[in-house]
Amino acid sequence: MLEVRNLSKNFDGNYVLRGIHLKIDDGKVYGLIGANGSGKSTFMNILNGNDVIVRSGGYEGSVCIDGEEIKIGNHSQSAAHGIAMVHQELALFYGMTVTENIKINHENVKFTGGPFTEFACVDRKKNREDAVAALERIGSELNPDQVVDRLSLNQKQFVELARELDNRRVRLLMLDEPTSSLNITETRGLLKCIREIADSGISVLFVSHRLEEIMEVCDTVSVLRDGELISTYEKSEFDIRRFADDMVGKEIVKAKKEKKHEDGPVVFQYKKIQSKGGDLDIKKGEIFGITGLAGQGQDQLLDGLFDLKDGGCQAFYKDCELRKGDNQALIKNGIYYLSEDRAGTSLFLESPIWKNMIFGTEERHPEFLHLKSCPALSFLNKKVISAHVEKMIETLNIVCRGPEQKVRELSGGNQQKVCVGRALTFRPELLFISEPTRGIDVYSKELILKWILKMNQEYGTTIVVASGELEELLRICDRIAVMYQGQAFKIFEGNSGLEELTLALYGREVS
Amino acid sequence: MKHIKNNMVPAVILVLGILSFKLSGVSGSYLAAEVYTRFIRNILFTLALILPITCGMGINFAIVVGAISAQMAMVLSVDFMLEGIPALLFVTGASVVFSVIFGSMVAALLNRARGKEMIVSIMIGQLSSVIYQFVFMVAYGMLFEPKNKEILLERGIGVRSMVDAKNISGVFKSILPFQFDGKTYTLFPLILIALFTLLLFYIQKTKFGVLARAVGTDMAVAGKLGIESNRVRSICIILSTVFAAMSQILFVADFGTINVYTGHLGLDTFAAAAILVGGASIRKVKMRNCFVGVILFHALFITSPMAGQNLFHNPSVGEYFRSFLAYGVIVIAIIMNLKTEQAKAV
Repeated sequence: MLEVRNLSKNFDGNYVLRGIHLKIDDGKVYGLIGANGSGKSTFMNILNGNDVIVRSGGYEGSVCIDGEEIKIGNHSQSAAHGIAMVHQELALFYGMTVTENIKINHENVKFTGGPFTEFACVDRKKNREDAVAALERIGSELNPDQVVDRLSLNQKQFVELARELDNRRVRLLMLDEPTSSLNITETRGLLKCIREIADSGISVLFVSHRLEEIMEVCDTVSVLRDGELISTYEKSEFDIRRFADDMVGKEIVKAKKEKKHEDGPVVFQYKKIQSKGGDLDIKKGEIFGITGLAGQGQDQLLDGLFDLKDGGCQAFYKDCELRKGDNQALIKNGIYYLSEDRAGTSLFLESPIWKNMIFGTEERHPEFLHLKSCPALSFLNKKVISAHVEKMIETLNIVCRGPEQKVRELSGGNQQKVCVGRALTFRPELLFISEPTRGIDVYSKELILKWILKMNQEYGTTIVVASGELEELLRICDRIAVMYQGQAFKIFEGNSGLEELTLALYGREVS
Repeated sequence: MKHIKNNMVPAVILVLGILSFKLSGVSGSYLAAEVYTRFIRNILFTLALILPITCGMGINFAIVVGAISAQMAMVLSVDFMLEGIPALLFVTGASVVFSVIFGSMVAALLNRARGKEMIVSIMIGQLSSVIYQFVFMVAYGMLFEPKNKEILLERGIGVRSMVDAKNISGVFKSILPFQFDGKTYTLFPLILIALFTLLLFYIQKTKFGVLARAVGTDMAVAGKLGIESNRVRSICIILSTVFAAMSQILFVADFGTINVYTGHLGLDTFAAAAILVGGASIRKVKMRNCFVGVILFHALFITSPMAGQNLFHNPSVGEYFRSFLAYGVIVIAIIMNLKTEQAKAV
């Protein structure tokens, strides 16, 4: 159905994609994997007619559908050829309903009249019917009149999927890390749905860092590395180790906490959060994991404390009650939070990497200032900052043009690494971090986990990690709390079994 | 209680308005007649602000450009010695043409100043005002030879500062006149306002209206989904400029005279104040905000000088009250709106 020949893309002469050849057949799921910055998103953005690609001079090579070459000069042309995309960072309009989001830019109108179609009244009834049909197609029972703001992440993902499938002409559906914010059950549901979509004759281009999912759902997989196509495998040749080797080009050593933390004093407490009304104590120097299915209350524990979400419970740090939302006091106490919503609350997308990496850390790093005695009036010491940021870029393997590159231009995984870089720079006493490895490739994932362990072991940082990745939590945490119905259902030791943890997600225990 | 909390700004201004009315000692019929006149003269300026706010550009202070377009068309109609319906048709047509051309230019500039649209629109308004004044003060009579010499100053260069607009106002005043409080008013402007309100309401319900709302909600997401944000924003600004031009025609038709050099000044501030008083913010607006805002703001505007004078027995304090209203109310409304938005966000 779709064939790309010799596809290349450069930004200011710097090639991020070079000579890609691949062919996607009708009704097949085609996997595309690669490390962060390997060119996966650029590849999809080209096919999607993304504005950034168009404004930076377009692409080289050719894209063919059913053997005929097509030109993709903008998103509308791409959509007209039946190419649709679900973005890694949710592309939804908050404040608008599910129906409005699904039908956006292809609304039904009451009359069509050439250039004046845009000024035709929207047929809301027909729109609603289409939205319901699109939602039914992916097995979702969402209320089409609901405003999307209050939906959970996976529900929002379904709205995106429904929006793309609503285009009746869709022939190729591109999914950029669709499962990165979903838990196990939700992921299962989505994978089943992807299979059904493919069975209905639509081709799917599936990008994910979770290689197990790739193994399960894809018919063919191609590996990209540094903008080049390294290998292509058919289902019978799938081997997770070969995928990982091709992606990284070097051996991956998994991060693991070797020595468990010995009991220290309690530094942080969530009051009355345990299922029997007990407090949740976090001990000095430990890595504490928090997990749970979506909507079980784990978000409120972290986001609630920093006032990013409603709710949250009473919290104490070193026996002093923390005022919810008093983020300045929290930061002064050495408490730092990296939210999972990196684009919304953790990054200044229009600012360069170096500014993002050192923002708010000047008090803890007087060497970043020329006038240490008067920080408020001091200029930044760019030389010291540059050296620090360049070191961070190298250590965290951030794929970029340099410290001056805008964060918006980085791939999702590299943006996440910039967030982690800031936490490392801040060197907090207590670090809250939510989904630290979301959207990160296998190699970088281990790098980040290793740095979390390093912060904990070398700098003595107490770390609270909220994540849906149970296997990762088991590798790095001293203890793990499983949240269920708004409370800590059970606290496990870091050496517990995966099965026990999985059962606890559903409020059950091993009998 | 929740309703009042959600409409804190209009509620506060309503209380102030009632106090001011009581203190001023004016009669209800006088106030009603004055508010009606000012409503007719100003409501379309305020409605002109809706689309730019909807598409995320904030308050379009460059509606001045729309008013200038209409002033130009009206001066030309007097110069061409047009009368009655032909004059009105010419003025309307020429105003639309001028405002579409100038509105496109304003839109192109504002699209290059993303995130700073409001301050840039103020600057555009000021600049266009100066250029317009230069053209009519110097070029008219020097570069262009007018047909109607009477509109020129005695020295033969530059248009008079006041030009009689009876060619248009006569048409307005002859359609559906009525008597109130001993004076003659007309319902015709009200019918035009109703038509423009319906048009704006319709635009909001169209595919374009949905796209404008989407662009105003998140321009980055709009870009990802292939919505041409710049085009949507441009159309919003052009429509806003056309609305402002139509409003200026209504204003002059009611006033009876073209105030060539100053007739377009200050109306952006009053429109902004009115829309904010009505409960809109620089990000969110509904049509009812315009109607409530114009009535409340102008009721306060009419009564406050007299209230100040009666309270302090000093006419200059009364005038101070009026100035305070125009600018102070914008600041107060913005602060109160921000507080309400923050409370909602939490």
